[in-house]
Amino acid sequence: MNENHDENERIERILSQVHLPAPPDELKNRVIGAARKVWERPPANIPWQVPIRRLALSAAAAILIVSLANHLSQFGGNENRERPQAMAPTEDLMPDASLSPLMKRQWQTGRRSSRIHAPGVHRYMENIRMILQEVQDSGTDNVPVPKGGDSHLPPSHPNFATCV
Amino acid sequence: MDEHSADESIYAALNRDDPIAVELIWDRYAHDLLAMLSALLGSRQEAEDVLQMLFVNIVRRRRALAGARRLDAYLFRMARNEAATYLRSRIRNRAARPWLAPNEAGQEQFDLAEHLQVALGQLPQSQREVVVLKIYQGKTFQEIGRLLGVSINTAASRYRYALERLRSLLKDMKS
Repeated sequence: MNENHDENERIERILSQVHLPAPPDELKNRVIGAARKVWERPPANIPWQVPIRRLALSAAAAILIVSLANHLSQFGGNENRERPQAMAPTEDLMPDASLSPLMKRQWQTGRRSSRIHAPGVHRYMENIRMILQEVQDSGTDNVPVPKGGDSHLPPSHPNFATCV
Repeated sequence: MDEHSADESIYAALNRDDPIAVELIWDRYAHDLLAMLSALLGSRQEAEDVLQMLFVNIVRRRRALAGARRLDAYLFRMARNEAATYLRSRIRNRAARPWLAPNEAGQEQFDLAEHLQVALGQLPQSQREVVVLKIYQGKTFQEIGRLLGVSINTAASRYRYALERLRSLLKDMKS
């Protein structure tokens, strides 16, 4: 410890054999002359203008982003309305291929339930309408049964007409 | 004029937007700033150039300087940033003028100054600036800590590590 202290003192003594010269007058004149020239110029940035400029730029950027998003969403909506039948396969529209199997299944189910198959519904309604028409025309005794034996109507009461 | 009243005069001149502030800053801080810039850049001439750039920047940012809580720490931070910017774009196309001067005349003393300059140049920048401020500018660890934005303990340990390194670099040299 003592030895270290002595050694440090020796190094300090060596270092003290030299010095850092003070800045000469010539340098002072040069530097102060250059600084004064800058001082006399009007400042480039007036402080109160800086935050206002930043605020204006932020507002412009926000307006641009919102209007761009609005435009893109309208464009997307028009495209969907123009091609309602052109549904891509569910897998192609998957948002992220890295989803877990459970989440994929949920996503597919959600999509399927929201989709309406228009020709199928139309055919079904037509079928029902036809059956009701026939029932109305021929009374309750001859309830028509579809070919496959798979009736869409509830089981009929034998004395339906008398019940009503 | 003591240090506190010198700083008060500088603040007053800055608030009045009086160009005399530049001269007051020079008288109070130029030597310390030049010493630190010399240590950081390892060249007296480059340190003088950077000092000029620093003073121009001080003038440009005089409003911020007027609002600075600690004038000395603010100026030293500006000086270090200026030196770092300069070092990034440095082109060494001129012979470096020695930044340490011998206390006495004679070839042997000049050789010593050159030798010490090389040894100091091998220290990390953070240690070199502490050594220069302590040995050549006579600052206390508390002052160094305040100027460099570090704790007293950090300043003292940097100095201790620097001396350990210098001991091995200068082991053959007689005091």
